[in-house]
Amino acid sequence: MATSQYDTIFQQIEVLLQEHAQLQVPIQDDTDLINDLGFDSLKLMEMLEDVEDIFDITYPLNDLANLHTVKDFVLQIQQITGGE
Amino acid sequence: MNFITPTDSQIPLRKADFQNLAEALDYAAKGLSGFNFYDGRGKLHATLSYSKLQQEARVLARRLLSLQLERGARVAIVAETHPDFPRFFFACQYAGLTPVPLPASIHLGGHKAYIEQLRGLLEKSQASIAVALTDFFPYLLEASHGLELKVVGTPKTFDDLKETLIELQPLQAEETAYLQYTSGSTRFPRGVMVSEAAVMHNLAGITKDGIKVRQGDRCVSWLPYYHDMGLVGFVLAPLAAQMSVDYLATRDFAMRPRLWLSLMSANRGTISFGPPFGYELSSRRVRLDSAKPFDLSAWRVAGVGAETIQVEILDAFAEKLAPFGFDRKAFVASYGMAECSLAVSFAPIDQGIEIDEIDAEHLSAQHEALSVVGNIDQKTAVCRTKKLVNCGIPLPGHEIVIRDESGQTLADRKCGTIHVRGPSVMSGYFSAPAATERVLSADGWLNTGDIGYLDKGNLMITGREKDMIIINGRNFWPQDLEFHAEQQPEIRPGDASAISVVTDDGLETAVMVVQYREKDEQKKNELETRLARIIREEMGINCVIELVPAHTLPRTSSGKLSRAGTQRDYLNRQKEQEINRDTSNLPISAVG
Repeated sequence: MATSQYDTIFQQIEVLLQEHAQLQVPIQDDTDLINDLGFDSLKLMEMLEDVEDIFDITYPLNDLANLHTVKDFVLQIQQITGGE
Repeated sequence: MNFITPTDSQIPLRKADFQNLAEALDYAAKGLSGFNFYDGRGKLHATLSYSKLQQEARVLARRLLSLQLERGARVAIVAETHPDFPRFFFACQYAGLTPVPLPASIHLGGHKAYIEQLRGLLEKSQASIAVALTDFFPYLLEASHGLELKVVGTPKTFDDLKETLIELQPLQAEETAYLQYTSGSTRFPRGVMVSEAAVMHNLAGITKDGIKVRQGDRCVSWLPYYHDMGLVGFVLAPLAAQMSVDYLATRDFAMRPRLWLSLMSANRGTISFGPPFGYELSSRRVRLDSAKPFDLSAWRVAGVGAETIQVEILDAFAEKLAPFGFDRKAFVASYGMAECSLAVSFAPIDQGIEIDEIDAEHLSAQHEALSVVGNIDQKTAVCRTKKLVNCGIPLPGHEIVIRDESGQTLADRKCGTIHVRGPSVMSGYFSAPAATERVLSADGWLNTGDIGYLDKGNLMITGREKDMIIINGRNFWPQDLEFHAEQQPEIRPGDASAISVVTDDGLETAVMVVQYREKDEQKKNELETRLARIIREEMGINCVIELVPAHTLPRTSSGKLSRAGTQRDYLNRQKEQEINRDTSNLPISAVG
């Protein structure tokens, strides 16, 4: 089921975001990586290292351009891991 | 299956003594060395020997000629770390076209900003054709919309062109070898025109006199191809001296800095360069793991350049990696810029970093570098000192002078603007005669805008190009930050001043001081948040926003914003607040 896969990825991402974010706020779908969590490109790279390892994926750099919210992020990873 | 190109080219070493880049490749192609490309997991994913590069570039050159572009027409190449970049770059060399590397660097949520940047560069360079790999192609296409380019495509688009039978006429000594857009202002990019003769002079200087290439040398690089150090230092110089290179894409290095050191270890790399930021990132992020030890004992040239060099960063790196065979004597400080092809001066190899410790107060008050050694009894006197790195003597054929504001040449250890003259200096900025005239005099002197002093021919840099902000190795012009602020309805032109300050941990932070008439706290908070967000989105960095009342920003006598004054005032306000609140987590010292 797509929803549950989304939720599973969300939960894993939530842990990583909390670990790497500059600002600590509750993480929701519409939480903004830049404005709410204070990520800059370099901080994000640190987190992407973990994301790539945990999901065993290669995150395409050009996807960064359209990444704003936690939901964008989860959906991108869902797509890269093959969706189901 | 791919095998890496060997370190030994099996042909006699020639150090860039060629007429042009095409001739350099023709010679390298007789040997076995070449480029190797590693992925984000440290696995080899492609190799491109110089002989294969030569063949493929010549075929592609004949295909490009079918487009019947005028000689010297600009070919924009989104410069990803991938074999297609050197292939297109050298196809231009053979076809008599001018390659223009474009940035392949996207920031979080930065779609719009990247499109604007690409579009600006396509326009400014008056590119005739443009190419990007599949990943970046949609951006290139979007950026070129409505512009008059003959072809915008992926490599395949150009590989599908019909090969002509025209004899190839490579770019000659006086022709422009490439256009290098400086990493400066994104709104006002300047395209540095470097002639074949200039770049060959510089490559000879780098390989023969700077790093003194020898048999057995092998390069490793994660530097982007669209920067002078990545392009000239680690594509052209190795090729011109027939050395193999192992590449890691910049994004993969930023994500996994460990890979740099793993590659150096695995392939017995002897030469690698980076800005201080690269060394800092490595020593901060690399977790030492005895299960996967490094062997950095072959690393003989660990070059440092591109920004003001902070000794502490190099010390930390050397200390952390000494157990793995890293020898701090491998550090080689250098000074250079795209306007001088790449390199101006190198410190001597095998010596490590040489420090000149000077009296910081005297420097800022008298513009003179007074050595503290022997002048101050360090046990009793407390004096604020500054450790400056010796960047060595200029490459042969090049001269450096230090001038004051009126253009007078200054004596040894007197601080002023660094001017350079010599055969590696650019021909000018592309299609920008006024900008060229501002920095390049009729008798060939280049005003670098950097501040420093000489001591018996050795160059020390005390500050870099006026006002530039450097965060994580990337250069930002304050005008670009201020522009974004001034786009806001409540901010007028001249109400924003961007500067950089160094925090307690030695890292540089961008600060923008903005004049704002509103007293309502909620409105002020909203504006602060909005400006910080815009800067993050547009430039990919965190920026501290400080709102101040109208008429706070200091101006020069001619009414222009004084950024030096803004910086001084900002730091004073911070100090006052610190005293008031008795906290110490705020920036304390200014840069250069």
